[in-house]
Amino acid sequence: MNRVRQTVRVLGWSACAGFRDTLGAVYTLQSWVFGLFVRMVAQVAFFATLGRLLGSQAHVQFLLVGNAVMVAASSSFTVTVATVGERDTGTLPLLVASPTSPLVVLMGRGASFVPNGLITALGAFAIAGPLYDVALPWGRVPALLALLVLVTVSTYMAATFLAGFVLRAPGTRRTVANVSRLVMMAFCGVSVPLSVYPTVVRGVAEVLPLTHGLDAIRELFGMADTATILSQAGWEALVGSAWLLLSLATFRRLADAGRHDGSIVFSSA
Amino acid sequence: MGGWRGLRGAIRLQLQIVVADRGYLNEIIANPFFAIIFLGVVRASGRHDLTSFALVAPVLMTLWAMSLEISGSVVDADRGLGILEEVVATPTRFSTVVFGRVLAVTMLSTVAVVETGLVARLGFGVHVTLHHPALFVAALFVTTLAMTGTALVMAGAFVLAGGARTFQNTMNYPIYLLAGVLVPISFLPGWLRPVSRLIFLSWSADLLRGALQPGPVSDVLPRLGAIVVSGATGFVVGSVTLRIVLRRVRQLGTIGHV
Repeated sequence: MNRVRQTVRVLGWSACAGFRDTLGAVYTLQSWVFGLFVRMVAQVAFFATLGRLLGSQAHVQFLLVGNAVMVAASSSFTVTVATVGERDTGTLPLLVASPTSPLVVLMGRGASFVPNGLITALGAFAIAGPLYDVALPWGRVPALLALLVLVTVSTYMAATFLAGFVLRAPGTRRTVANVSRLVMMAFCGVSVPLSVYPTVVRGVAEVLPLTHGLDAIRELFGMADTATILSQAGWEALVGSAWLLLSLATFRRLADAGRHDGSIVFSSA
Repeated sequence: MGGWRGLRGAIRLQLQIVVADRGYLNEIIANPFFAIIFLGVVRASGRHDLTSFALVAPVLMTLWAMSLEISGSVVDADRGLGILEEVVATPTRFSTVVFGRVLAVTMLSTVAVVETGLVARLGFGVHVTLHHPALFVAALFVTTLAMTGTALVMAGAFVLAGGARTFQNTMNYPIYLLAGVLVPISFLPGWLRPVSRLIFLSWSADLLRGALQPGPVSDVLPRLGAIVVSGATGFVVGSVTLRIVLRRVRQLGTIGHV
């Protein structure tokens, strides 16, 4: 019980520190609105306009919903890049040496990217939705919010798993985060229906975050019944939990390997 | 003569930087994914007539993303490394060095043509036919030059306007949408189209798509001319901006400061 309380406390404090960093050092309100939000809404509009070119409202809705949800998931990968910041600021060796798992601290520190993704995705739905005649009844908006939280958190679990590897090779941080985003954009049913791909690719997509959560959100927009939506949401939760377990299983080992070979240093190469 | 040697040296230097710096490679890596997405969407929807749209967009997106990358770093990175003083002190003009480095990156970006073609062939079994090869080469050539000019302007602007680099990452999707790199600008609201026409990529996208389609392409010369004028304007404005940048950092004594 004490251990759980201690973990929650560490998570809370590191999340506070992360929020302060993000709000102060990474973004100002102006740079967030014009530097990130506008870009994300434009990204959703870009793909929704492709739907118009294809010539049907069904395509517009498919592309708009997929890419607005992708915006939320995409934000989670910032933690993969930000984790290396601990190396750059020289705090990583201290974290690794402390009795608390560095993974708990790093997960807390990056937690600010989750609400960032949520707000951006909701904003994209709110702005691009009416422009492209894609609407969701007000009664279903709370469910949309809950499913977006689920997708963002499950993607965050996969992103922290990757953060462990990036700590061992900090020079790859941007490439790893970008390729992960692109893989999800291409193969998780964001723009391209999974039916286009060979069975192997579809199989991989099943164990990636986003795929099932996005399906659940599409069902929500398609006015499917609650059981169908919950079934897909359950799969998404399962996939997210599996990635969390994988992070827990590998992160300490990666950190220990870094201590062993001296690659946990006070600054990145 | 010295200018040419300086230009060649700048190009060689930048190519070495590109190989070592994953920032540039990220954009080259991204290209096949976008090709898969766009080709996947048009093939899944049964709109095989839109294949040329799906082929042109990833190429132009890579060109633009690479020029954004170089324009954001070409001056600032040298300042960060503390080598800007040496670069400025060399007999080669500063604008020649910057031009050469930007040109190297935009030329390299044309590898996106090969990448996209390979994805189409190997991933989707699409045989890309260049119905108007001369037009394709000419459009790609002037687009590359215009991209270099535009990158020069952005490079100067990012240094001159302190906070401008914050918005560097914003300048992709809004431009892709406005310039019609994937979807023609006729799908945009009427009031936006004149703005779109100010972006040379809108002319490039139309010409490159036209070169991949069997029908005749109209108004080739005026449209090529629009891209050339845009590029030439970029060179002039970019060179002036860089001169202002140089004068300012010399006056303020901040040439070596980050």
